[in-house]
Amino acid sequence: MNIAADPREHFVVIGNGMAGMRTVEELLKRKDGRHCRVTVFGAEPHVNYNRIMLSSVLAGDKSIGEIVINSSEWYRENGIRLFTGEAVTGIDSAAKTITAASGFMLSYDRLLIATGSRPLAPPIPGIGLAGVCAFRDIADVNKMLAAARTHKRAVVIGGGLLGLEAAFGLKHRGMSVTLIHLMPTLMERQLRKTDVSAIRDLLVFGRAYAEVSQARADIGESASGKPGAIEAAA
Amino acid sequence: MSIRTTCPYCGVGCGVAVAGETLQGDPAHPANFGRLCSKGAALKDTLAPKDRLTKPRLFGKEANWDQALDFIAEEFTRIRGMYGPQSIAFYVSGQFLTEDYYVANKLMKGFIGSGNIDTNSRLCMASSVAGHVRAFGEDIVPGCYEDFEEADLAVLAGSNMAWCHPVLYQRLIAARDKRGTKIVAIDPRRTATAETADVFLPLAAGTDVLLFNGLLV
Repeated sequence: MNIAADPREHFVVIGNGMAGMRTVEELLKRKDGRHCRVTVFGAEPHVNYNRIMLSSVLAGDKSIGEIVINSSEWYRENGIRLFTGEAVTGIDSAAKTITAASGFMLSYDRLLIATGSRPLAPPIPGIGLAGVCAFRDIADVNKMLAAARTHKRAVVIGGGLLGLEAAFGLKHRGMSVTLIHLMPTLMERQLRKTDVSAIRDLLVFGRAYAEVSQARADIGESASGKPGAIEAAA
Repeated sequence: MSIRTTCPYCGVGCGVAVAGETLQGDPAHPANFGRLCSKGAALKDTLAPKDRLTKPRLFGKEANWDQALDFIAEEFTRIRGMYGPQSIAFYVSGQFLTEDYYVANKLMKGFIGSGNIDTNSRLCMASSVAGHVRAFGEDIVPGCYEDFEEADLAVLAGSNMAWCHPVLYQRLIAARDKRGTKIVAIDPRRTATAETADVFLPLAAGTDVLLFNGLLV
C-alpha cells in the first residue's frame, strides 16, 4: 500500500528498546490502536532485546537470540515498519516530521520518544581510547567478546553489580580480570565485610584480582595506540 | 548524658534528645524547637518492643529465612506459570540505592519477564525533581522553614501537612495567628489541612496541571 495514501494515523516511535516496544505491544492490544500504523526507529542494528540479560550473554549463559523479545517476524506480522541502525537526529514538531542520521525524513501524527539512557562515565583521562567501553548494549558485549578472543587481560572499573557481572563474564571468557573500585570494599552500601569476602571467593579472580582501595584510575596509552596501562593510585 | 539525634519518620527532620529512658524534642533544634508530633513522641516505644517481628512467619507459624524465601519464590513461579508474567507487579521503596534498584529491576525484567515495576522514587519525587531542575537549574529545596514565618501567602499543593508534617504545620498555624498568613490548600480531598485553610480548592483528580497553567496565562 502506498504509504502516502494510507489514511491511518501514523505513530512513530524513536527507540526500539524495552519501553518503546512494550508501549507498541499495548497499543496493538487496544481497539483504536490497531487502526494506526507504526514505524519504529532504533539506533542499534538489532530487533528489540532484553538489555537486562546482557550480562548472561557476556558470561556465555545465553545467546543474543535467547534474549530477543520481539523477533523480526513480530514486526512483520503486526505491520510495524522497523528501521534498525537508524538514529533519529532531528524532530520538527511544527511540521510533524523526524529526520534520521541517513537524512531520511518521515512525517508523523503521534511521536513517542523512548530512547532510554546512556551510561555516565567518570571523566577519567583516556576514557575515549579504543578498547575502553561501557556495558550497555549488544555492541559493548561484542566488543568485550572480541577482546576476550584476542587479548588476555581485562580491567573493570566499578565494583557495583554491573561491574561484578562484567568481571565475572570476562573471567568466564578466559580473561584475567582486575577489578578496580573507588571504595575500600565491594558494594559497600549493601554488604557487610564478611559478605564481600564471600563474593571475592566466589568470583575467584585469582592472581589478577586486585582490590585497590580509594583507587583513581588513569587509562594510559601504549605505543600502539591501545590502552596499555592503567595507573591506579592507592 | 543526652544524645542529640533526628526523628526518622517524615521529612521535617525534628531534633530529638535522648537521655537514658527519656526521649523528648530537642529545644535547640531549628526545625522543631523542642516540639514533637505523636509519632516522634512515641519513638522510644518502638526501639525494643518484645513483640517485634524478628523472624519470618509462614501461615501463622515461625519459619526460617530459607523456608520463607523458598515459599515466595515458589509462589511467584506458580503464579507466573498460571497467569503469565504480566500478573506480577513490584512497587518498590524509594529508599533503595542504585544497586538495589538494579537487582529489583533485573528480577522483574530479566526473570519474571514483565516491566511491571515502579518505585516510590518516581511517584514521590520525579515530578518535583523535574520541576526544580527547570525552575532553579538543579534539584534543590528552594526554601527554608523560616519562610513559613515570613510568608504572606502559603499555597499547599496536594499537601496534607496537618497529618503528614505536623510540627511544621503547627509552625505555619502559629505564624498565621501572629501575622495573618493566608493559607490556600489545593487538594482533591477535604483534608484536615484543607479544613483550616482560608481558601480550599477541591480540584478533580488530575486537573492540577490545568490549574497551574491557568495561573500562568
